[in-house]
Amino acid sequence: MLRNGGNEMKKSIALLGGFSLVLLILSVCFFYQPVSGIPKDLPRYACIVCAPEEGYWGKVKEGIRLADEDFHTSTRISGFSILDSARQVELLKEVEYLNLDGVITVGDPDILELNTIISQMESDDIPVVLIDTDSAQSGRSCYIGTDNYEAGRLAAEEILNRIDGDVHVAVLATGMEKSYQAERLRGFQAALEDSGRAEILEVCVNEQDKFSLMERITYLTETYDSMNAMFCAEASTTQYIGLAGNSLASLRDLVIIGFDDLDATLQAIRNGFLDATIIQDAQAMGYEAVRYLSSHAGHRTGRTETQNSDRFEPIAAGNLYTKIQIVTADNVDTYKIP
Amino acid sequence: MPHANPATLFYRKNPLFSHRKSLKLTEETTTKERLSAFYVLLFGVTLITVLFTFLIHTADSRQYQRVIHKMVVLNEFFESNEKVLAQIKSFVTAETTAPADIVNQNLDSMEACLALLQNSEQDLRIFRELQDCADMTDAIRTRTAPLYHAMELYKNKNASFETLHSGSREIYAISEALSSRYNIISKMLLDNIQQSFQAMQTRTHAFFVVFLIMTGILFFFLLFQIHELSRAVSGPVQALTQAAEKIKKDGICNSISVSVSAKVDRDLRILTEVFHDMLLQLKRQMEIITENARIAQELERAHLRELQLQINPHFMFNTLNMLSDTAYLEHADQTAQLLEQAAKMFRFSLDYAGKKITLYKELEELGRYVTIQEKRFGDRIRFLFELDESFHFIEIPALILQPLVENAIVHGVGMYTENGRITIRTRYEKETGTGWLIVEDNGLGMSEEKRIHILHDIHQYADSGLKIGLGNVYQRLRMTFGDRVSVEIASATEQGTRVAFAIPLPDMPLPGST
Repeated sequence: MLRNGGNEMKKSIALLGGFSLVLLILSVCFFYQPVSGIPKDLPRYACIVCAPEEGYWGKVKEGIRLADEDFHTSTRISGFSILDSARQVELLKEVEYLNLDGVITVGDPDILELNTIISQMESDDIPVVLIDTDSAQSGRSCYIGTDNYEAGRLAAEEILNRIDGDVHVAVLATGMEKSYQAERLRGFQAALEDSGRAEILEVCVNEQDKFSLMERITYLTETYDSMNAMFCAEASTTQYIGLAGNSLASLRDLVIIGFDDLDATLQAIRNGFLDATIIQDAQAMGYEAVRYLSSHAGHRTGRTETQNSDRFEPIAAGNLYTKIQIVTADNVDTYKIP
Repeated sequence: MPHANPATLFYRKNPLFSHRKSLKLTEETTTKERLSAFYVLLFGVTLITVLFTFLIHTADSRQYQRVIHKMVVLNEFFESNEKVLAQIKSFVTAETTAPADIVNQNLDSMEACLALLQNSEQDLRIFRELQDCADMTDAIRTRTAPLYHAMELYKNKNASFETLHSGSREIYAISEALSSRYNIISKMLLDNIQQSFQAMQTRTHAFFVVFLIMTGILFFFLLFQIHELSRAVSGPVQALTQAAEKIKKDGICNSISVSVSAKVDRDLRILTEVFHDMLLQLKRQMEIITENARIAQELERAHLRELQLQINPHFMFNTLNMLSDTAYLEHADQTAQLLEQAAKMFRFSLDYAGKKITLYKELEELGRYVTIQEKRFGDRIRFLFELDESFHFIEIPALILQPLVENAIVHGVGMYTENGRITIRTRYEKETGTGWLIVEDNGLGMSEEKRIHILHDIHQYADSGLKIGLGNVYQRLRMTFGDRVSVEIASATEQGTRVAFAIPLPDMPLPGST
């Protein structure tokens, strides 16, 4: 059939062959999914932190995700409401049933049950890393977070730098029973005292809402004529300053230093209602927590350590303070956590 | 040895096409081959389209089935967990016999489900959840035996109710924690399914777009093939039809030629070219028939003229014989001899007109004529013979040379009072196989213009039948020896004329030759 004169047939067959080949290649390109397999013996950690997926806690989770990639670990993140410490305890109890290599959670020195369960885990050879808030009495392996005392001092120094004469400052917080705010205030006070030209007019504890804050600010401005500075010791109060600034023109005459870099806070700096904010490296907290566990855990289950990052030196047990820096109108759009 | 193409054989066998050396047949395509190729392409494209569609559909289905299977296994796992929980609750509250077998069976089933899911899982997050589930299943298993033991102790009053229930509460907690994972894993699986299906859908759409483009291109190629095919068939058929109509209308002689494009298929080209050649052949046959009819008519006319001419020579012959007898009676011997020679010459022309004689005989008769002319012109004209007798045996039409000599006398040396010379020469050229009949004189000659005019007249005679001496001789020689007979005239004013006829005598067996 394909003798001389069968050129048309040859052409047809060649065309069909080419057509099939191209389709085959395309099929492979489009549909072939190599079964890569997943590593099944990764060190397993549980991270039990506050629920929000964005903002501060979102950065913590992003740091954990990055660290999992870098150190080849598997960290399961569970969230609980910031006000629901019972749920945190419940989630931690669940961890007891699992054969895990480490736990990351948020400490709270005031919750006894939390400290007890952390202590129990440590005694069961499950290393616990506390982030954001420490609770040394829990017996945790490591605390990774901001040095709140230093953060308070940094805020005070910024106010002193901005005001030449005497400084009369009011402090806004959501609860001095919270250790991190108390630490910040301690550091803040120490720096002011060291300067010899500053006094704290009042430490106001307000609710975490805009109206409560506005009431407090109105009260302070009406009560203290000499007040020329204000320090917001935590994130939620700081973000409402920007929102309150539109209603309270007197705020513009004050030097106001806040905390954390929520979107509203940064916008308040851009709008001139806020002079500066102290920011924490939340992502580093998550990242360092996993790195700590990957370098210290594994003994319990006998899994091979898979750390392969040379970004940091191994962390010693104890405290690891992540970096803090100050953001002002000058660097509000360009700052970057190293 | 390769088989010859049938079309080639046809051409080789048929002498009509033997001259077609340039026709290339072996590499050309026939309509049948073209049709076969078209059907193969059409069938192939359809088959491939169906095959790939089926494969893609199968791939989709398999992925769907895999996911469904995962969901079924996951459901089975959590159903078993529910059963374990129910059994434990029933055991603790109703204080029944330890359901160890049933619980262990369900726990085994749960572990099997987990192993199945873990083995096929590609998502690290889901795998992690399954690992946790496996740990919790194991935790339940390790806590069941102490619970059964606690029940025994409680029944024997050796343990408190609180001790019993703290063990069961732990199992409930684990089991409930497991149940809470069901929603998480299901959601992850569903998210994965959604992503996977979206990706699959995107890939399938992209593939189908490319596939459709390619199929579209092939489809247009097929359309082009159909167009080419119909053109290849209809073009030659239309040409043949037009040619047939032309033949019907104008006849074969006025019909046009049939030609086809070089792109036409081999079989249709053969058909068209055969038709074309048949047409040419018919036209040629018609021309030959017409020519033969004309020649027949001419011959009939010539025969009539010959019959008419026969009357005069008889009268002249009788008269000349009577005059010759009278000349003898009057003792005029020379006149009597001349008259006798003239009478024999007339007798010869009467007997051999239109017949063939040997060149020897022709020369003999020419001698009589020359004798008469010598008596007539005396010393004024000399006649010379230079003869090559090697081919004198050939037969030529009678009275070929006499008109030539007569022309030489009348138009050449007739007016000379002295030194007139006429040479009759025969010669055979062995190299070319040509016999030459030459009559040469040293007479008045002619201008170049007149020479050309005479040559033209000689050839015209051949075509139109004009009667001039040379033309007559030339025509008769051609009728005897064919178209290769040629005539040459060389002449110069006051120097003479040379008339030569070349007769083709190829491979003539000459006397004495071996």
